[in-house]
This record gives sequence, structure tokens and C-alpha cells, in this order.
Amino acid sequence: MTPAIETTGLRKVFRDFWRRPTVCAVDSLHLAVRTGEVFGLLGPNGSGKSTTIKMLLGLLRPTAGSISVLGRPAADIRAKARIGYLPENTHLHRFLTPRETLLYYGSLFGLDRRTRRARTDELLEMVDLAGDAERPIGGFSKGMARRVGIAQALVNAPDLLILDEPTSGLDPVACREVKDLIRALAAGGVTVLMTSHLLADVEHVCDRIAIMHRGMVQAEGAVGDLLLRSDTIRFLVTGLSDAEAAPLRDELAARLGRKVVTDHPAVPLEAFFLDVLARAAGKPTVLTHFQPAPFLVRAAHRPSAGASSVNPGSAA
Amino acid sequence: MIPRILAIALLAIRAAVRSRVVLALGALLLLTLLGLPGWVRGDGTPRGAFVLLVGHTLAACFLLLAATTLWAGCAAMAAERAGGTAVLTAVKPVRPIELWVGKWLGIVVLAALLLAAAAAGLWLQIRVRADELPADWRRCHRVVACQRPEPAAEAERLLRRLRDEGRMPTDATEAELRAGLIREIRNRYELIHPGESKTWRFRIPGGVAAAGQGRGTAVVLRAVFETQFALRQEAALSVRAEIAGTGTEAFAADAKAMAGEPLALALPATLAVPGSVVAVTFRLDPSARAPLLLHPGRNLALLFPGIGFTANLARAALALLAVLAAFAACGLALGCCFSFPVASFAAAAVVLLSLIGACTGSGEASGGGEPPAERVGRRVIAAGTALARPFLDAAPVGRLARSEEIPARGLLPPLAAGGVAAPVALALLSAFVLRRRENGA
Repeated sequence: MTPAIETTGLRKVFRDFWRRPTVCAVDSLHLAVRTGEVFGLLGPNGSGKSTTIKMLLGLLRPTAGSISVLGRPAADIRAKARIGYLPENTHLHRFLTPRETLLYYGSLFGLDRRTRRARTDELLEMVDLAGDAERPIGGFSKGMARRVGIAQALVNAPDLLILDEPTSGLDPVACREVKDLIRALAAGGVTVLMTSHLLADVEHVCDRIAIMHRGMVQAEGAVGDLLLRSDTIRFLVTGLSDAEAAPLRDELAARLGRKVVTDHPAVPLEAFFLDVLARAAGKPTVLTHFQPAPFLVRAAHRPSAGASSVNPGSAA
Repeated sequence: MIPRILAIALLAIRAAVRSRVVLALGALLLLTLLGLPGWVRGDGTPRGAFVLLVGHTLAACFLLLAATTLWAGCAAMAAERAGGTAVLTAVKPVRPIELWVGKWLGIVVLAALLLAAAAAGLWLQIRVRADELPADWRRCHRVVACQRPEPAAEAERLLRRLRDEGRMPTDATEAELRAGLIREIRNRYELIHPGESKTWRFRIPGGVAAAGQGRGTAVVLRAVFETQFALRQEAALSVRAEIAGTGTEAFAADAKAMAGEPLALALPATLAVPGSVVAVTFRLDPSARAPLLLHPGRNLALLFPGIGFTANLARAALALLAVLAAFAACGLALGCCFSFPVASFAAAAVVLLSLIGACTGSGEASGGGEPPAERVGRRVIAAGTALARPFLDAAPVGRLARSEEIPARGLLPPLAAGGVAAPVALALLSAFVLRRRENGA
């Protein structure tokens, strides 16, 4: 299958007014994003993520290398018609309402009037702005404007969605919704390329990631493969007290001849926050659905910080 | 393509309306329409009041609209790029030319609406103040100028004569001499000495004569004589008019002409034979104390009944709209090339150069030994003049104020230049720049 995005030897050198090279933002970038996957582009500030995205969208011209987006050159009109883009900073026309904004961008994609209106209503509902659809965006909070930005990126029902920091400026509930949306879109066959500084977001959402530094890819692969520690085993046991765990840990350490670590797993803050909101709204707790294990045993070469551990042979 | 262009045009109109630019401009136009005729004093005559009301007010309204159109053109592209909204448009399947045409169309539609509102306001003002205006303000007249030798051909003839006689000046090049001669021929006054006769010929166009006769109105001969040193002098003249070549005198009268004031003589409608040439002869009385001066291009014409004032106002508005369309195109092109402050500055410079060129009417060589800086300045002004000429030749405001019909054919050059040529050229240039420009915002 043809990759949705493919770059070969991509390089971008920015030049000053006198055409002298000032900085090499992207260097020898080989990237292949498969159709239907969620691909995360990570890296510190200035690593070349945004420059790469802008080259993919045809906003910047590469100094060297080639780009293929949905099988066409980056700036091709037919490719653009199938792309949805959410920039890092949502710059929208402040005098337009969300409805007018979506109708306007819909008309730029050549959607007919009926489709445009139906799609606008659907998207406004989806980003929870149906009640504010007739207010000018100039009076919106950053998060609300971000929602409009997300909606405009989806107005053409894109095959490829490029999201630059999609959860930036959103509250945790909206973040969760955006992440769910990304997964849902990917399940529907949409290819998603996203960048984010929030690594937890990327971890939850992305199938594969590439980590960039100084314009080059330093690591690339499936999230599970990159993060998996295949030399370490973790047991999850529910309803176990510290007193009950200690002899088991000691016995395991003695039997294996290796260091065994036990600790209480922490609930992710996002999950806790959502659970608090759910309970406040009188809904059933969400934590129990995905975080059943209150006790954790890890067998590893080195103990993790803050966790209690025993060395082989030191058990009482 | 068309829906995208219309969507962009609609956005440009919404941007202007909701940023209160239109509201502020509307208030300024209203203030101009209502305030200017009361504020500026006329010469006390009904004709003066008409010139003031029509000419000055419409010119002031146009100036406001022109400045705003140019500024809006710069802002439509440059400010959008600076604000970051251009990025979202750039990633959509919109061609640069579609974006440009959409913006231009939006600005031109807005300008047209505001110009129409200003013209309607002016029309209402005239209706309300009809008592103060000359009785014939409702009807414009069509002007037929006298036949004059083509300045370039006349200059060539003079040069040939100088060459043949071996009297060519040596301190200037031939090109400089030719330019000087053309300038002189254009501005040349004819002299009528006491006791002397001078004849000028007028070719009667078909449409003009038929319209005049149809309305049963006589043809009017209008002449404004001047004197050397601008002396206030009354001179006795005898005037004869005939269809050239027939030898039959159709009109003869004695008249008294006051220097600097128009002399108007009603000629019989029988003279207005389509396609014929009418010869008009002035003979200055031998007892006159000084010769009379006449600029045939500016101050001698046959006037035929023309279209009504409302239709003439509509034609003037159309000619002005062509200029506004060119201004919008110019502003957009500058906004594509530069940031908003630089584009605004460049736009102001373009307007100033055009105005200077148009006002001085120069740009022609002043003679030999010209310093390089002066030559560059002259060429810049000449370029400004050349830019402004297609629009200014129609002189819509001046003609409207003088109750002269703006010929339908005369609208073609400004419409072709402002509505087609300038926008097409600038759209292509802008599309090229937009395609080359990197949008890293």
C-alpha cells in the first residue's frame, strides 16, 4: 500500500535576506506514514517538527529531497483537497462566527451548499459549540477557538489529518475528547500525523512515532515496540496488602536470584481528573474500568526511584 | 473555481463591514456630501453653485473612497498574512489567482456600493437644491472640439522644415526637440489680431447631430477668449458659420466677447448635418485695442444636446469605479509583495507619483544638459503620468461639473485599463509572488 506521506532525503535550510544559510531546520528526513495509522512526530522546540509539517502542506519549499502526500506532490491542489490541517496557533477570522467559519472553509473545499450545512451542524455538535455557533470567534476563549480550529480541519472529511499540537489550550475533558476523536478517525481509515509536547497524549493515541532532534529523526517505530522493556516482567495483584506482599517479594527474589521491586501503581492524573468530574456529575466512576490493580510487582535489573526494593539474598 | 472566488469575495466584504471600516467611511461620505457644499463658498452664480456641488463634492467623495480602497487592498492580503489567517487558506485547495480575484472582487463590490451611495446622495442634494442651480442643469451637452493637427505629426512637419532650412538647434537632441515641440503645440494659443479673421473647422459626428435635431434644440458655439496679461477687455467680433465646401453662409452675427468669460452663440440646427464639416470664422473688429487669444483645444467647441444629468452621473460613477478597481488591484498586489506598513507606504507613493504626473502633465524633456537626477525624476513622473492617463483622460468629475456629456466611447479606456488590463496584469504578478512566497507563519 502506498504510504499516505513519504519523504526522502528531505532538507530545509532557512536563509536570510542575502540568501545566506542561517539554520538547517530539517536534514535528511526519511519518513513514511502508513495509510490509516496515527503517527506522532515528537521532539523538543526547534527540532524541525513544524518545519516538516509546513513542507508537507506546501507552505514551505524543501531545499532538497522529495515529498509525496497522498501520492501527489506537497503543494498539489488535489492533495490539499483531501487534507485537514490544524495549526499550532489557531488563527481564525475573529469577525466570523463558528458557523460562518465552517461554511467558508467548506466552500473553499468546493462542498455543495447542502453538504456544507450538514457538515457544519455535525461538526459544531461534535466540538460542543452548537450553542455558541452564532457568536463571533473574537470573543472566544483559547480553548473554544481551538475547537473551531479542530472543526475546520475536519470540514472536508479528510483522508489525511495533520494536527500540530492538537490538545494545546484545551482542558483535560476536551483533551480526552480530542484523543478519542483521533482514535475514532483512525479507526475509520483516516491517516493522522500529529505533533505534541504532551508525551502522554502521544503515547495514548499514536500507533507509531518518530522523535526528531536538530532536524533529524533519532528514533522511529511503533509506540509499543519503543517503550516495551522485554527484559522486565510486571505482575498486577489486586487486594494485596503490604504485609502480604513482603514475604512474596522476598521469596521471589530468593528464587530468581534477582532484584524484585514492589510498589503501588499510581492512577494517571488525567484519569483521576476525569473520574472526579464524572462523580461530580453523578456518573459512575471511570477509574475502575481501566485501573483495577492497586498493587504491582516488578521484576527488573534496577529498582525504580521511590519504590521499595530488596536485593537477592537480603530478604529476611 | 467560481464558488471559491465568491466565498473569498464575501469574506472580504464581511471583513470590511464587521471591522466598521464601511460604517466609518459611510459617515465620512455623509459628512462630505452634507458638509462640503455648505462649507466651501462658491462664486455666487448658479453655475458656480452647480460646479461646487457636483465637482467638489464628488471629487472629495472619490478621494475618500480611493484612499480607502487602496488601503483595503493592502490590508486584505498583507494583514491577513501577518495575522496568520492566510496559513489556513493556503493549505486549502485554493489557487493563488482565485484568492486574489476573490479579494479584488469583494473590494470592488464594496467600493461600487459606496460610490453608488455617494452618487445617490449627490443626486438627492441636487434635487433638494435645484432652485439654486442653473436652469439647464438637467441636460448635459455633448462637446465637439475643433479639428486640430495631430501634435506629433505637426512637430514632425516643423522638424522637417527646420532640417531642410538648416536651422536645427545644436544644443538639444532631436528627441528633446520633438518632445518640446509637441508640448508647445498642445499648449499653443492662437492669436487673432484686430481686423484679422481666423477659421476653425468642426467635423459633426452622426449620433450627435441626430440627437440634437431630435430634441429640437439648437447647436451652441462656445468660445472663451483671453487677452495678453489677462486684461479684462470686451471685444467686438463678427462670427460666421457655414458647412465647409458649400459656400453657403448658414449663420452670421456680431457679438461682444468679454475676455475670460464664455461666449455662447446658438447656431441653426441645419448646420448639424451628420458627417459634414462646419467652418466657424471669427473676425476681430479693427478698432479693438489688443489681439485676442484663443486655445482651440480647451476653449472652442460646438455643444449639442446630450444625455440627462442622471445618466451622465452614472457614466461618471462608472469611470470612477474603473479607477477604484485599479486602486484595489494595486493595493492587493502591493499587499502580496510586502508587509502591510511597506505596502501602504508604497501605495501612497504610487498615488502621489500618478497625481504629480497628472497635475504637472510633464515628464517630457525640458531641453539639453539635463542633470541625471532630474532625468530620473522626470522619467518617474512620466511613468506616473502614463499610468494615470487612461483613467484621467475621461475626466468624469470635471465634465459632469461642466455639464458636458461623458461620451460612452470615452468610458472604454478607463474601463479597459482599470477593470481589465491593470487587474489582469497585477493578478498575474501577485499569483507569481504568492506561489513563490513561503508561508512560514
